[in-house]
Amino acid sequence: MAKEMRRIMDKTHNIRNLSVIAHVDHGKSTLTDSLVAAAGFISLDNAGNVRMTDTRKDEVDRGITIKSTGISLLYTMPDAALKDFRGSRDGNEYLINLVDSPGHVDFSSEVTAALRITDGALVVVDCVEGVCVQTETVLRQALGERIKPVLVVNKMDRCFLELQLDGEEAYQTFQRVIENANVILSTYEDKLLGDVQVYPERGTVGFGAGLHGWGFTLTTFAKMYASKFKVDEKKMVEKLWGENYFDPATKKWTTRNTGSPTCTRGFVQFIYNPIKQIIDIAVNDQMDKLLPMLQKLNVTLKGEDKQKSGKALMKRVMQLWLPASDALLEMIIYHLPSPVVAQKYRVENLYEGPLDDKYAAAIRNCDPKGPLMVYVSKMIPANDNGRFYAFGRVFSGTVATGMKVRIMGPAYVPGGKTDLYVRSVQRTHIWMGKKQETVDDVPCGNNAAMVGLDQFIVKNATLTNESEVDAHPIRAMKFSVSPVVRVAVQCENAADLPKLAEGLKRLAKSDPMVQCSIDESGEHIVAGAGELHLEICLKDLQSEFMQTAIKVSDPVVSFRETVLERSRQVMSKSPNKHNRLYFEARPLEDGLADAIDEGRIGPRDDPKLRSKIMAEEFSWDKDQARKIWSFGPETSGPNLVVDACKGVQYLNEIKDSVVAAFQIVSKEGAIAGESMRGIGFEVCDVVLHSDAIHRGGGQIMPTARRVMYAAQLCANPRLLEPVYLVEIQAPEAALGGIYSVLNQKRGHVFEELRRPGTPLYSIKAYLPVIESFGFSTQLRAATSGQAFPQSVFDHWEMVASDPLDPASQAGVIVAGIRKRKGIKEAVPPLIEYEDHL
Amino acid sequence: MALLDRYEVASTAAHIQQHGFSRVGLQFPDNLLADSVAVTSALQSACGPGVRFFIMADTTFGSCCVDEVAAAHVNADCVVHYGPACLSPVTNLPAYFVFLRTPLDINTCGEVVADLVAKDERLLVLYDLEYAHAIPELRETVRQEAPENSGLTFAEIIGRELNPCKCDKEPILDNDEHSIGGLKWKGSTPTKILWIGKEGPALINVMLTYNSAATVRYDPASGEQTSMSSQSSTLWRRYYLIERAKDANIVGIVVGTLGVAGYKQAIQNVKQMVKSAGKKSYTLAVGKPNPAKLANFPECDVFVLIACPQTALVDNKEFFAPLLTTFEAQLAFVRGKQWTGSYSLDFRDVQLPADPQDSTTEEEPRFSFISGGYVSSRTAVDNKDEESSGDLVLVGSDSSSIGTLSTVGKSPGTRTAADFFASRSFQGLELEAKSTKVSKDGDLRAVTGRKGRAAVYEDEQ
Repeated sequence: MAKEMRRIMDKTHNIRNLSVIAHVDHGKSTLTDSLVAAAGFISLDNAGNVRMTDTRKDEVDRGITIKSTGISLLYTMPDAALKDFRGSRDGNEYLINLVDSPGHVDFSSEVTAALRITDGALVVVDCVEGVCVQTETVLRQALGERIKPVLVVNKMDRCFLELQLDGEEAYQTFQRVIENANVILSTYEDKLLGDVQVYPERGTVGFGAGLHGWGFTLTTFAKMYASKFKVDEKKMVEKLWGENYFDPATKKWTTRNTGSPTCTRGFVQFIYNPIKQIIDIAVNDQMDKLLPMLQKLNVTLKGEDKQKSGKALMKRVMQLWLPASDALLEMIIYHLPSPVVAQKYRVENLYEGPLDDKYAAAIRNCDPKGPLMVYVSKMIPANDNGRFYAFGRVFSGTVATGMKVRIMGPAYVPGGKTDLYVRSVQRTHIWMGKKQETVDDVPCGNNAAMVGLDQFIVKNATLTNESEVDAHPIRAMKFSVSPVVRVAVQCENAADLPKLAEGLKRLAKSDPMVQCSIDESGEHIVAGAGELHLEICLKDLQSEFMQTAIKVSDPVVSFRETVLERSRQVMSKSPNKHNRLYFEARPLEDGLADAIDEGRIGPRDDPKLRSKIMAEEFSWDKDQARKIWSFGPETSGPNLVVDACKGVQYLNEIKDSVVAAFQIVSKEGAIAGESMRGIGFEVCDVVLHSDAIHRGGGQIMPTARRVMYAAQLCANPRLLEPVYLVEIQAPEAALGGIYSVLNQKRGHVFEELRRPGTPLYSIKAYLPVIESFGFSTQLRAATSGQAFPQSVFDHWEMVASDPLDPASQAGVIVAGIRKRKGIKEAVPPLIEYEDHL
Repeated sequence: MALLDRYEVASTAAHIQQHGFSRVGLQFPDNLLADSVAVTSALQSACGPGVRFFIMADTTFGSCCVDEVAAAHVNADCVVHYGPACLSPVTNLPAYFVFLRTPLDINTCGEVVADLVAKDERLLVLYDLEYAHAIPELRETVRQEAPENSGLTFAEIIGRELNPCKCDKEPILDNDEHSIGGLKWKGSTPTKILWIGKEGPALINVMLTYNSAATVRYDPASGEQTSMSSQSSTLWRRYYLIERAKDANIVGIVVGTLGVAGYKQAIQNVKQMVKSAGKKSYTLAVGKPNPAKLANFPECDVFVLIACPQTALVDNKEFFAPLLTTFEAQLAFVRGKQWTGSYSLDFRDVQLPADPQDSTTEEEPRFSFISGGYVSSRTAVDNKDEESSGDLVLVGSDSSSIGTLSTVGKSPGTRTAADFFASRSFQGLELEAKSTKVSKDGDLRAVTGRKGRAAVYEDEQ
């Protein structure tokens, strides 16, 4: 098996790397099963129930995918299926490297990691629930990575069995799903990727019922009718979608509904109704009617299948008639790019270095003989002994067992020595769902799991040949979620500390998003995207990585400190009283902090360009914009220190000291020691001693810190709290419960929509992250399990009250934070920071 | 007179005469300086004109240690130390300690002890040295009131006088012998401690060292008894600082004592540890460290303070970089060492590992909980590069670029002070030609500078 696969891995034109992405519970894993079954890994009976790619016990128990799992599948396509394929191919064997990804927002980072190593995406949408918040997120991410999408309208069975929709209603529902998806796709259009919108008549939209293992594209039916009616297949396809109506009475096609009762839409007449008919007959066990019909459709039921009845019979009949795998494979092979095609346009998104060097060329051409370029997108725990596989995509060259590779970590800067290691690959594997197979080497265009590199890679890295010292790394992945929820973990006694540290290290590896760190008070912090994400991480930490009980604190949310208005000018004197610094603090313009967060404005921009953007978008004075001393915290954060003085002596000497102090100030504000956001500090005037010895860093740094704190306190400081965007889908009966829970939790609904054609309502609300703990449990309780929220960090919102007033809501929060951090509970008064002449 | 009694003038004079000292330094802490003149004249009249006395104030380092540097200035042959002391061993000079007797209400205190003993099987009694004089009496009282109890231990002071150690090494204590802050006792590691005295560095030292023991403090001044909260938050904070130190590239070794025996060895040990961890160290002597002084060394990511146990622990957020004790430095810099709850503030407890280099030659990166990623610990391979990087000094940096300098976010390539200097936007005064006076024959002449106080120089008036 592995040998077979290894052989096809060289035929780069016959490879498709794709991820399956969707909103939670829209049926990714079940649909994947159909493909797995077609490759012979599991029986057709089990397809849809096994969920081959849910490998963890908790995934099976909860019925959701948590980790993205890769599986390589091999198909030999019949000639007939490939006769219309116009692209390059090499024989009829196809290798499909498929990555099933989780749909829950909390695990979005897994999706990001999956997208990086694939070229195409199978976007699955529940035809009833339609395009949801997470569908949009993953689509946006996919296009950002230049991943070509095809759409599968899934759970068709619900239309027939649950909702009993008539043909026209169903068509409208599907049409809306496709339209909604196209709206998103066109928003993020990318010239190089071409038109990425999806059209049923072009074969980029498929329809299916993953649970029952059947599915089709318009071509499936067009082929049937083409031979029956002796018409051209292409023409037939066009008639089967859109405004094409057929009147069996007149046997005429029209482009509008003529109003005659027998006039029906092509799709309904030739696709929906026949399926409905078969399903109805099969479900009602009308064997006498069923068998002749099946004969007409060239479907033969085998002996034991005839004994089946009801839904099992229906499932088997549909599987035989319209096997989902055929439709999916057609979409994948015809419409998703091979690595050769995809890497041509992906290279500029992927490679950080110059696009004319040999590494870029090798990636562009998907050259197995070129220099090795591998992006490790995630680390997968091995079953034993705490080791990890480095799982990633080979973009060029060939990675082989025993090969020495250069490992460039996320902190590596070309030419530097940080985060750079050379190590041998001990073994290379390919991933087959629940098991791995060892291979000698893996050529470009494929995914590989490597053993022996885990001590050098935390989450991701770029690998190249040992000798390729000029290679730049492949660009780091950008996540759509951020770790906003934190808990502190402790071991029962200090002697277990080394174990905890080791466990956290492994946890940090095993998940693309989770952050393990130590905070100022020495507590180990685990930060995740949401409550569910954290829950899974902590469970892994205890049971997989530590095997010891740990104490977990209540979730903690980090706040930000900002200011409301411009302060007056404040002054502080240096310890030796010979120097005076005059500063002001002011809120940054709306949107500026966001622009810095997004990286549109940053410390490494060309100063001229930056001052142009600052002047045009944020109405800064151009000269002022050129006098930005630093961003902070971490030299890139959303706060600024700006030189606003005129003709001051020795100012250049103290810049370094002021910047160093600003980094600390912006990291730990005066109010609660939280990071600042959206504060601009202006150096208004400085009076410095004429002797250099009396105005050294030792005098200036503490003073700069004090004066900035004083300015912050004088500028009407405020706290910012993180807020989730919550989307909830639920039937009307559950709305009351949803509203009451949201009200209790300070949430506020800003959109309530009824999904046309369905009994479902979609509610969007803002919910403070701090209130979100236990939210989904309460929601389930209040709606008898009918409502599931999807929460994703959206923005920072100001806590209205004054944090300096201990009685206010903000004041209480501040006291809590300060207590937790072990600092004096009262905010230090202004006189601690400000001096007077 | 009470003052003379309190300062134990008679016994001090006797001690001086017995040893035949002729130049005696009297070291007063700042708060007792007011009494210094009276004490000196009393001693002078007691000892006669053959002995010269010098008052030593404003100690270079902590006032609990014997200030041998100041004593050397006056060429003293003995130091009499007044006030709270850490009784750390001295290097060069013999010292005599006067702890300033403070009266202790034996009966009340005895009751407290008896109460605690009744509750708990085992109790260790420790105290501020100013109460040492009353401890024998207290012990007798307790023994009379309560029946003989094997669980009750009173610590004894190790002595009133200290002589310079001949050797750098501490005499090895028996396994069941403990010594801390000038007190010693026999017995196993305590589980419950009664501290008689004030809150202060001496108590903190005890509580951190025996952090698993419950501590009760009895304050003789107010007669109150308080059960001290555990020091675990302090310990966890120190744990964080140790993790920070692991990521440091440049370590400043701050010399916080020039008197405590073995400090030179300790400096050497720390230097060695830092070096074998692949980091760069600079040794600094700045007297009593404060934020402004240490902010003059922004290139240091972390400082290690080598000082006596009662002054070594500094945790002040005003400092721009954390100050570690020697013990913590060992946890941070010696590979394979992990903190498991024990703690010590005494730098003499820290020994270099027997084989300083790990036998595994492979360079394995370390996971940093501060950055959340792997950090390579540089070994010999990189030290070679470091030497050549000395040439980098004075490489001009682009002044238009935005400063990226900070103690927290220093660029990862900064491994030496020279690297750091090269990354600064301001690199020192430019000595312009016009400001340098050149005489007619072309050589430089020294010229008279400005005079006066820094606040207003004479030429600025």
